Formats: sequence, C-alpha cells, structure tokens
Amino acid sequence: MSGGVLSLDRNGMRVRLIVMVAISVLLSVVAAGAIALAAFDRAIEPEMNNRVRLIGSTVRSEIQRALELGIPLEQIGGLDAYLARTLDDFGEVDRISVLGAGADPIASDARDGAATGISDAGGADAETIAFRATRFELPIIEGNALVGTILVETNTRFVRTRLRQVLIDVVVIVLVALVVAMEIALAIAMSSIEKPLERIMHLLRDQVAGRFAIRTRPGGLGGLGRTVARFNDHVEDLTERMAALPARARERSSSLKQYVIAEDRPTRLRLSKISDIRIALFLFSVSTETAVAFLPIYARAAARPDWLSAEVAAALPLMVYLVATACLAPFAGPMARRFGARRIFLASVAPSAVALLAMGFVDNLIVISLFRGLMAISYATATIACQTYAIRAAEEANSTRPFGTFMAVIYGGVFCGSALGGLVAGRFGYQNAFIFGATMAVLSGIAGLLAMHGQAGDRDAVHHASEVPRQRTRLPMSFFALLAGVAIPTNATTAVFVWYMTPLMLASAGFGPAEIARVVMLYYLAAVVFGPLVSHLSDRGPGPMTMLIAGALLSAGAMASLSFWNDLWGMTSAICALGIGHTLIRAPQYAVAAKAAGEQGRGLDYLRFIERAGALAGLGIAALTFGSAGADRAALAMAFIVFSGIVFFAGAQLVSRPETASRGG
Amino acid sequence: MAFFWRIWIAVIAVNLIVLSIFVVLATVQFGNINAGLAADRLNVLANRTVAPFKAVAEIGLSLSTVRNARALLERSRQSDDAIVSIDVFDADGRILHSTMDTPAAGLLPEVQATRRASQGRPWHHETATGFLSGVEIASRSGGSAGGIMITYSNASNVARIRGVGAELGMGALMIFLVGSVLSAGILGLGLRPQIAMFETLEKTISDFERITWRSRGHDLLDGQKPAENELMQLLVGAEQNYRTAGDALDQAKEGAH
Repeated sequence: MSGGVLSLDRNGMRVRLIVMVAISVLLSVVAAGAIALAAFDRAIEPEMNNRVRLIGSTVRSEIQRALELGIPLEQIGGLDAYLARTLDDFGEVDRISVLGAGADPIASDARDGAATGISDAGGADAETIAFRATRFELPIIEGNALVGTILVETNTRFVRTRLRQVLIDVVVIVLVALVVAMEIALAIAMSSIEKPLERIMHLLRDQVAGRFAIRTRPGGLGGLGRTVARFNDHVEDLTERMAALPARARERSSSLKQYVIAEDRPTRLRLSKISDIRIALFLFSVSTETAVAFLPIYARAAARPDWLSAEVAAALPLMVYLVATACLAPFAGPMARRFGARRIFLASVAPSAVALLAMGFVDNLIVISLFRGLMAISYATATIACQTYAIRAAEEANSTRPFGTFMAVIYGGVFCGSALGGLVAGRFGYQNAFIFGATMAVLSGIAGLLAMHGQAGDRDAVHHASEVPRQRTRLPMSFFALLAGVAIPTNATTAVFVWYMTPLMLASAGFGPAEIARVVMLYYLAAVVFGPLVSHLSDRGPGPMTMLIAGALLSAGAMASLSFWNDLWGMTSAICALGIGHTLIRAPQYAVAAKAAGEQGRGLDYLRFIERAGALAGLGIAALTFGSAGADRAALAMAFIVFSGIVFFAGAQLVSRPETASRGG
Repeated sequence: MAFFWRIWIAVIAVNLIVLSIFVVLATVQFGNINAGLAADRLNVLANRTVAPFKAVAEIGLSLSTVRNARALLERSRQSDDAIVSIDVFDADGRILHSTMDTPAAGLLPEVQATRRASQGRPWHHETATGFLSGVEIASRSGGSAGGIMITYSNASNVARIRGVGAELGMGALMIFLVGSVLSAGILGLGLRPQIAMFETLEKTISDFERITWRSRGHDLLDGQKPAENELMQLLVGAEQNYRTAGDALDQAKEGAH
C-alpha cells in the first residue's frame, strides 16, 4: 500500500463527485424535461383550440350580421379585405376561407408561404405536435338554411414557435435546476467527506506534535467518527487532569513542558474553506436578483412625481443601486476586515430581506428606489464579506480560486435569481416574488450562520491585536495599469453592452422581454460554466496574465463582430463570447491586482470601487452617445477601448517588470 | 461500503431535490404559458366587444351614454360559458356597465396598478378566482376614456395546471426510481478508486484500534512491524503522545503530594 492513505486526491474526488452528480441529475432532468414538453404540449391544446374557435366565431358573427341585413353571402363587399385584416391580427391563423353552400370558394386569404390546400392540415407536422385540430369549420346559417362554411386553419409555424418558446423555458428551468444541484452536491461533498477528513488530520497532527488544546466537531463516516470521538476525548481527559493539578505542580514538572494542554477548556477547531461561503452567497445572490427581471416594469407602474418620465422611473432603481454599491465598495472591505466577514454578512441579511419585503408592499417610486438603495448597500457588504472570507480561507496566497469561486457562485445566483424571479412574478405576482426574494435572503443568513464559522470569518488579526493603522505603501504602476487597462474597460463593456445595448437592440428588432432576458442570461451562464476551469488554468496552467490577455482579445472581438453581424444570432454569439471573455478576465484580474498591490485589502478595495465606477461611467456615456453614434459605431468604439486597454496594461507590465526585478535584486 | 452508501444517498437526495424543484418550476411555468394564451384569447374577445364603445369615445361622448350596452356585453359573454362578467369602466376605474346584476363599484386597486403599468396596451391580471383581461378605449383627446374588462373563470385552467403538475410529479417519481438505480451503477464505477481508498482508511482505523487494545506497554508498536502508512503513523503517534502526556500529569500529581 502506498505511503499516505490521507494524501488522497481530494480535488480529484470533488471533481469526480461533481461529474457523477452532474451526469445523474442531467439525465433525470433531461428526461423530466421531455415529459414536461409532452405534457405542456397536450395541455395547451384545448386553449389553442379555443383561440382558433373564437377567431372563427368572430368572423362568422360579422358575416352573419351582413346576412341579417339581407345581403347575400356572395355579395358581401370587402370580404377579402376583412379576411386579410383578420389574418394580420392573429398570428396563429394561416388561412381563412369562406365557402358557399356547395363548398364553392367565395373569399379566402392565406399567409405568405402557408401550406396550400386544406388537405395539408392533418399532415405529419400537425401530428407531431399537440395541436392536431388545425382546421375548424363553422357553419353560416341564414334563417333555417345552411348558406356556407367558414374554414380557419392554424399556422403550424406559429404553433412551432410557441413550442420552441416552451422548449427554451424548459431548458432554462433545467439549467437552474443543474446550478442548484451543483451547489448542493458541493456542499454535501464538503460536509460529509472533505471537512471531516481535514479535521481528523488537523487533530492528529496537533496531538503528534504534543498539542492537546484543540478539539473538533464530532461526526464522520464509520471509523472516522470513532477516531474523532477518541482523539477529542484525549484532549478532554488531559484538560480535566491538568485542571485538577495544582498550579505549583504544573510549573515544577519538566516533562509536562513538552506538551501543550488546555488549562481551562479546549478550543474548538474552526477550519475555513472557500466553499463555506457557497450556499450562503448563492442564496443571497438569488434573493437580490429576484427583482431584476421585472423591476423596471414594476418601478414604471409605481406612483411617481409628475416631472419624472416613465423611462427615468423605470431606470431609477437601477441607477440608485449602482450608485449605492459604488459608494460603498471602498468601505465594505475594511468593514469586513475590522468587524469580521461572518458578522458583516449576517448583519447584511436582515436589511436586505426588509428592503425586498418593503419594495413589494409600497407603491411609490421614490420609496422603492430608496429601498433598492438599502438593498444595494446590503448587497455590497454581504458579497464583499463573502469575498474577504474566501480570500482568507484560501490555502495559497494570491490564488485565483477564491475569486473564481466567488464569481461563479455570484453569477450562478444571478442566473437562477433572475429566472426564478421572472417565473414567480409571472405566476404569483410581483408581491410574492419579493416575498420569495426576502425568504431566500433569510435562508442565506441561516446558511451563513451554519457554514461561515471558520476562522476566516473572524476579525482581521491586525485589527484584533492592536488597533494601530498599518503603514501604507505606494501602489505600483502596474496596479493602476490594471485598473485603467482592464478593470474599467471590462466593466464599462458589461454595462454598455450587456445591460444597455443588448436590450435596446433586441427590443428594437421586435423581441420581447422574455427573449431579451434569455439572451442576457447566456452572459452569466458562461461565468457559471467556465469559472472553475478558468481558476484552475490561472493557478495551474498558463497563468493569470495569459487569461487576462486572452479574455480581453475575445471581448474586443465579440464587440467588433457586432459592427457586421448584429441580428439575433449575432447578438447571441457576441453575448456568449463576451461572457467567456469576461470570465477569463474577472477572477484572474483580482489575483493579479492582489499580487500587484502587494497587500490584498487595499488593492482589492480600489479594484471594487473602480469596477463599479467603470460600470457607471460606461452606462452614462452609452446613454448619452448611443442615440447619435449608433449601435455599430458604439460597438466598434468599445472594441477599440478594450483592445487599447489590454495593450496598455501589457506594456505597463513589461515596463514595470525590470523595475520590480531591480528592486527585488 | 459506508462511503458508497453515504454518497449514493447524497446523490439521490440531490436528485430528489432537483426533480422536485423542476416539477414545481415547470408547473409554474406551464401556468404562465397557459395564462398568456388565455390572456391573448380574452384580448381578442375584448377587442371584438369594445368596438361600439370605441365609436362612442371617438365622437367625444362618455362611455356611460351607450344605450344598449348591457345587451352588447351580454352577447359577448355568451360566446364562452367560462366568462363570468364583462364590465365597461371609465378612466378612473368606475364600473359604468356590466353583465352582472350587482356589479362592483370600481376596479380593484391591483387591477388599476396593472392598468397603469400597461400604458394603454391590452392588459391582463390574474386573481385567485379568475383571469381579468382588459383593453383601453382612447378618448378623443388621446387620453383614456376607460376600457372594457372581461372576468374569466379559471376553474378549467386550474384543473389543467393541476393535471400537468400531477403528470410531471408521476413522471419525476418514475425518473427518480430509475435514476436511483442507475446512479448506484454510475457511482460504483466512477468512484471506484475513492471507495477503495476509504475502505483502506477504515481498515487502517480498525487495525489501529486492534493495536491499542492488544498493547500492554506504552510503545504501541512494541514487537510489531512499524506503521505502514501515514494515517497509521499519525494515529499511533497521537495515541502514544496522549499516554506519555498522561504519565507526565500523573508524575506531576505525585510530585505535588
């Protein structure tokens, strides 16, 4: 047997477990998705039939009104034009025909490209989907005589489009379920395997070194549980015996000096792992994002001062949110270090839940915006507290992993929160969606209370030991080059392209909010899917610098592609590419910033502030110039800015490297 | 096998949670799709019904002046048994005409909010008992002269949504049962090295426990082969340290006396 039973590949096991869970859950959810699609298909058939019947009866009532006035069916004027108008109004109708008593056509109109001939109605297409009754016949009666028939045929393309939308909805639900499954699987892997093993290792190593002052949480699989109980008991036994010993005897015994035994009560071992923040942060992110999908509509409908336009009203909560997070960004990090990440996170949960609840129960735009501001403050403090916890829990300094985990969880929450918020609001109303968000916030607090008990959640040792301020060193040029060349362009691009241009361009192309939301979701999905891989490559592969450069080039390419390809698929491809590009940038940029600044705290505080300021500036500039410059030019300008930024940053790195070397040498 | 069973239970628990979430979300989404389709249909009906009232508003008269309003509304109401009532309201939401004998005085506040949010477009609101679908009627000046609202019983829709929920629930249960068996196979194959490693770990702990209850002196490995792996070394080292620390405490206690 090899030397180390406990040197088992925990990363490998985690990856394997995730893959196993992913395969298992994916198979189940895809099968459930197929069942859902078939069930939806069957269940909406009666409603679709009702719709077509109603359209037919509408046409019939108009015709019958003419007949009641004594006009014979064949002589009703403008019948063709009326049928054409009806066809324009109702997308689901492919053809409307008015036939005489002998089935002779009197008037008919069909959509361009419609299947010709009534016999097509029961064809293969109609059989594969639920809406089999694609043809309705409604008799036209005058007195006691049947004078004609109205034929209404449904448009199979319209039906297919509906079905495709249902399929997309199911896919979104499948993705949400998968993201949730990953979070649960990781939590289970951590709590049932990794943490118990690590606790035992820590306890044993301590006791081998002669330290009997720490005990750990009981529990663990089979023999592991027994081992923990045994070695915890060792600590307790020695502590009790030590406590019973007179102080003089303790001091006199030379053999006792080689051991560290707790004199009063053994300390409880509190290991910190980056994954401690996962469930709490995920739920918190879900809670804050539930309102995103409908907040502009909700805000626009709220009572507002007369001088405020509907457009500004719709955007006001978002503006307040951005300003509040930007203002708080420089202070949230120092707060988390001074008071402890756990405490700050838990303290942020209650205001966030209250703000969400309040937003659901008020009907005044100003009040809604103020509560959105309160939620933004809570969001900034809670998320930065989690990031601070993850950084301190990381085993390696300046590793990309804590940032990668943080980003993936945040974006997973954004993805699920916006999808769930839209679903709940659509079905149960806005108020219930806000209540759902508040419940998620409370659950995140409970998860934080249970999971974030590691030492990484405590106050910063510097603040704890002496309240003496640290001597501040000057931040190097390469750090500022990162802010100017990478952080600002990246966040400006997100604000301009993802938040501003995409919704506007797609809306002007005739796409509804649901389609726009689905396209925008792809940006966040890229971070969830590729985030862990990027962290791994940044730490163990080509390194963060390569990731930054690749990410910036991909982002610039995505923006530039919009100048010649900006239909739905062009936008979708650009969003996906930008999502991947920004995933390549975000976590490595934090690792590079922490390394360049030399100290994580201050450097990251600057970076967080600059990120928000960049987003705000981008949004402001876009709002001012988008109309006059046009989407194509704006996209090209953004591509140029991103490209120039990375060239500037790479140049600054080359210049500062000899300086660093000479200083170090 | 404790490791395998723990992981298997965890995986099927995740599967169960995810399938439950899926069933709930999919049922909710079906409700949304169904409501959207019903709203579209009711809008068609509302548009058809609104025509005579529009004509009145276009010439600048109040909607309350339409003489045969109830008959016009009743004709539309009879087109579908599920229509509970059709109401005509003014710009402030006061009910002017209705198919009901004792109509409400005005629109509900939440319906007014939905109306405001729609900004003149056809709107739709869902309550516990039915769908409300409305279209606005523009006045001569371009503002709202009021509108028409159809209240539609959602009993059949609720039954349909419950039916879909039950069908999905049953399907999910079958998938869960089959998936649980399949995941046992997948885990057995995929986590074979980890399962073997945990079995070795269990054996090491059992061996250590045997050594401790068989040992007579302080040297746990006295006369036995040296610890063969890292875990055994740590277990033995920690146990030996505990015993010698205990001895040191005993000696100190005796010295004090």
